[in-house]
Amino acid sequence: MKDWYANQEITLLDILDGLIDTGVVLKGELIISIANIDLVYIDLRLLITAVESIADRSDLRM
Amino acid sequence: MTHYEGDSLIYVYGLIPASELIPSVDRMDEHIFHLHKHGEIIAVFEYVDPLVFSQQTIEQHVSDPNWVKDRAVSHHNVLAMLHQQFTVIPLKLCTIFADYKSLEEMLCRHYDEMVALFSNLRGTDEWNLKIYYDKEKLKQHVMLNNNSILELTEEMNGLSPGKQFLMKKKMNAVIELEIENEMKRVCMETHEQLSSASLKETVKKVWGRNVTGIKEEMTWNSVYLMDRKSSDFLRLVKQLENDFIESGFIFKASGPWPVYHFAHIHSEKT
Repeated sequence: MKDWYANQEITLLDILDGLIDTGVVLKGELIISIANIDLVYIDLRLLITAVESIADRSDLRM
Repeated sequence: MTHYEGDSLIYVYGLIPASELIPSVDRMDEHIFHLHKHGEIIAVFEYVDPLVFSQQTIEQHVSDPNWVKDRAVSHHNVLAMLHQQFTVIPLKLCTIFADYKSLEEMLCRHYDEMVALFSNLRGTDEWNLKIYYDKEKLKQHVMLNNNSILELTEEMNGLSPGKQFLMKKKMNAVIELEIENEMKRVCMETHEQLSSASLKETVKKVWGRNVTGIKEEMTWNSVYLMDRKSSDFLRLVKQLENDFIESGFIFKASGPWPVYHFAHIHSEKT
């Protein structure tokens, strides 16, 4: 069986599927919010692009 | 912990408990992220340019896939990094405050709820499961194993060619129905087993091939909040995939993710 568990390539789709419409939404003092993004309107070539995993990034800004 | 930069906006990625941060404070301060402490809560933020992150410019940027990609990846990478070390309450993409005072007011307003949330989320990870299916393989599996279809096939064999032709239409409809039933059965059985091992679960939207870019059709998408110490999500998924792979199902699990779907602030007081 293929081993998709280890060293899995994360795509932009994986990230946006997790990020869109999630996370704590705060109101009131907040001045800016982002409109919902419809994945259907994002270029498929971008969505299926593998994104560098967190472990591979050497330019983490922290 | 940090000085306010007057003309900048404050982009907050997430919140972490002060009690978990102490050993890393110095290291974090060396980088461009800033920390604002309010009692037990620390907001991890970055100063951003108001010309780039005004409401108006963000609305324009959202229609630019490359901007969305860069923003989403940056947002996720910060939260994923924090999640590796701390309990994190992830904030929604582009959560931006006008100034330090408004950030402070938000932390005051939701303080009790956020502290309680830290306690509930400590030691947890989010995992995602997407199930895809190979329709031809699933069709073959259903035709060879489904009792209704086997009976119809037997019935059809004893008919004249003309009646067989008519019966074929009925057979095709039954095959489609049984494929749907098999997909539902496999997804529900998988979901029930993973749910019983999880703390919470959420069923998500299934994306079409125009979004996934994958040849096989997606039939299931869900997320699970798992206790890091007592649960092995990947082992469970492997076991389940072994049960269903022969009938054409493809399981794609990913994680551990920051708890994007399980951090909620309910009491919005405006």
